Amino acid sequence: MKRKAVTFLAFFSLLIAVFAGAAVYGTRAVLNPSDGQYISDIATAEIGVELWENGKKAETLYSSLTEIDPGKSYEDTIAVKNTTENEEYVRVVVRKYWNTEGEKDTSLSPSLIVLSPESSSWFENPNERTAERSVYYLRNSLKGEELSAALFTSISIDKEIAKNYSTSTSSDGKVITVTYTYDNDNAEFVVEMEAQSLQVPEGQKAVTSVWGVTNIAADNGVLSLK
Amino acid sequence: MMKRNKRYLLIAFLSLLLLLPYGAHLTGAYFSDRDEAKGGNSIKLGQTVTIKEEIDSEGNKDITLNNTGDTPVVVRVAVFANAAYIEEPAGENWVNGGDGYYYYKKVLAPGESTSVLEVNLKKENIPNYHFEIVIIEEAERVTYNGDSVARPDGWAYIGY
Repeated sequence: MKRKAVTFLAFFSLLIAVFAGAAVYGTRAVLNPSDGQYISDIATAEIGVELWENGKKAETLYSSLTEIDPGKSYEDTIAVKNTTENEEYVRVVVRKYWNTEGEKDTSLSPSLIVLSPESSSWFENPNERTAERSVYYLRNSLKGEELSAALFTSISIDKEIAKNYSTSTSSDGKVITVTYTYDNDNAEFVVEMEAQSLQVPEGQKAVTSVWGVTNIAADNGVLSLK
Repeated sequence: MMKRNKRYLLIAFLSLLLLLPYGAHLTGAYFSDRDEAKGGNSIKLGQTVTIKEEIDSEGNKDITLNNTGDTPVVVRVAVFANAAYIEEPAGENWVNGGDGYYYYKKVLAPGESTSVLEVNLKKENIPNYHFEIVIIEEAERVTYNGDSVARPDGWAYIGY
């Protein structure tokens, strides 16, 4: 009987210890020691992010640009919205490439698709840059329900896209018709963006573990290049 | 004794099961979220331009260019003729670029035509042999530097 009681006590103590530890860990994962809102943070242990274009949630990017003149700059604002009450770190992964007749065309340079980031609030991680991909980090964490500063405010297609063409001429005796056929006529630019967010508490571990980058410092709500 | 060992083994097993969530946290179970979007569009570049040359009985030529394509263009014309026999070519919105070409000052939207560029023979110095004025037209798809129309490579005129 005594042995049974000891066994039960040992098992019960272990249960208490495990659940207490889990509760403490769960709390640590969402607390932000700087804002003092511990109770509400614990109650909403989640974060959320949305990509926004021209003041609303992005669906199909750049769908309003039906006619594009090479070299011309078109206003189009990309930003990120925190959809929860909890502070979060944010980054945006951008991929640019060309399609020709529905197939990816690597002969056309992604650099012909010009997106200039707003550099006072965002910075690029050069270690993650490829010909197609750029990754931009928001310097300051995004507070609850906050909309970030614009990452991009415009887009343009480099006029080099219209550099090469051939001509053919026909005549009916009165009127001469010259047809210009461009090498890159009807090429389709494609931009993919993915907004990603992470918790601020234990941010450095989260940045390294989830985003897989070692040259980004997360310190007290601020991201920077190491 | 055997029975007690089984009990301890069961407790140890259950404890390990309960510790699994710790392991998950320690290997990177952080709060995160993501949202993605994609888009783009095709770039129209092709163009067609027609050149209409009307020649009168004296050999004078009236040149008109028409943008029959579906993209905006800028145009220029070279006039090949002995300068001793022709007047300076002229027309509304046409400018001598000084490089052998006459530039039309306005962008031609799809469907638009230039005004007439008149290339007239001098009345007092008509050659007594067969004489022809040759016109070469060039058009470029409009491109921009920001909001300003860009000057095509090799073109002298930048007044668009």
